[in-house]
Amino acid sequence: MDDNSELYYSRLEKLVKYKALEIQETLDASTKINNYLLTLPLDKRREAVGRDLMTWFFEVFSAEDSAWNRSFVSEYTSSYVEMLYLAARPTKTLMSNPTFNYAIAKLMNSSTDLTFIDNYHLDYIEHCLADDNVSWNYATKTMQDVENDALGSFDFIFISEYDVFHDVALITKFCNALNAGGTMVLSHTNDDLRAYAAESEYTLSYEMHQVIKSISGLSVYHIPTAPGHTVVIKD
Amino acid sequence: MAHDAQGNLSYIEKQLAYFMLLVGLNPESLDSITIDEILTAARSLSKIATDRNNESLPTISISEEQGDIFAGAPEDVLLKNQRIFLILNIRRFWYWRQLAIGALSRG
Repeated sequence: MDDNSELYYSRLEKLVKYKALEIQETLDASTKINNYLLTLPLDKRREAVGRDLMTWFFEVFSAEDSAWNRSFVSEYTSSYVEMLYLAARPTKTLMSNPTFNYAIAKLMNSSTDLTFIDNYHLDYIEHCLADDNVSWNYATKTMQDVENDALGSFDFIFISEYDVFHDVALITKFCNALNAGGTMVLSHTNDDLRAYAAESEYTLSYEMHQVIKSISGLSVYHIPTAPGHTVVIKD
Repeated sequence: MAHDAQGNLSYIEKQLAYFMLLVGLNPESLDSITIDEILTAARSLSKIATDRNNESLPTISISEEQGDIFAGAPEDVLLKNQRIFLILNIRRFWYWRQLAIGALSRG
């Protein structure tokens, strides 16, 4: 992160007030999760993991000397989800990435009928963060449920491109699970900025957006800040 | 309902099996193969301009008028991006498999 970005976000920070978002909670959760990950024999060589945010998220967010840890950017980009969630006032919510967005997950847990996609995030919630004394109340759906059109229906869906990047057609399943008037927020949808570059039309992000746009009755928006958020609203 | 580590691992291994087949490898070898071997097979699947510098292929800027700086024939841009995402897929599922095995190992 360069000095200009720091200055830009330091000014934005003075303009906003959140309902529940507290980035420190995500940072503290990241530390607990990273401490667990350090006990696993993970192959973290560059060749094995590349430069993928997904694989180093907890490491950089838990490191006190990391720019990601100290920056307001992460909190600010998370605020898009809080804002959209509060505006939607959903009764039923589906979420896939609670440990990337811990404060928002807790907000959802306290204010909606919450369902998690069963993945490593749920394992971390149950194994690494169990001593946080959060009274969780959630149902689960698996990726097999996604493939088999057995998701059910929701007023608000918060997932990331990580959930569908291997088969962008899966985004149709999530769109179909939206109730009328429902909102879906997808995070990390700019493919590490490739979606805005010269080769944009060859990216998975582009392909995924075309799939969503091809479905009738959906409006599609994109917020280009940081990792990119795409918002889908069903008629 | 609690996390289903075995169900999660099954999904991940199914996806890895697909990508192994895609790059010409036998999914039955998943327990013995290395990530390096899978990535080598993936890179061998499609040759792009950076692999073929000695072949004097024509290169163009796909949006020169806008100042974008990606030099390469359109087919190479397409192949490059397909390869980027193929490798990304393989790496993520390999990493997730390690996490899932870690969860299972706790019993």
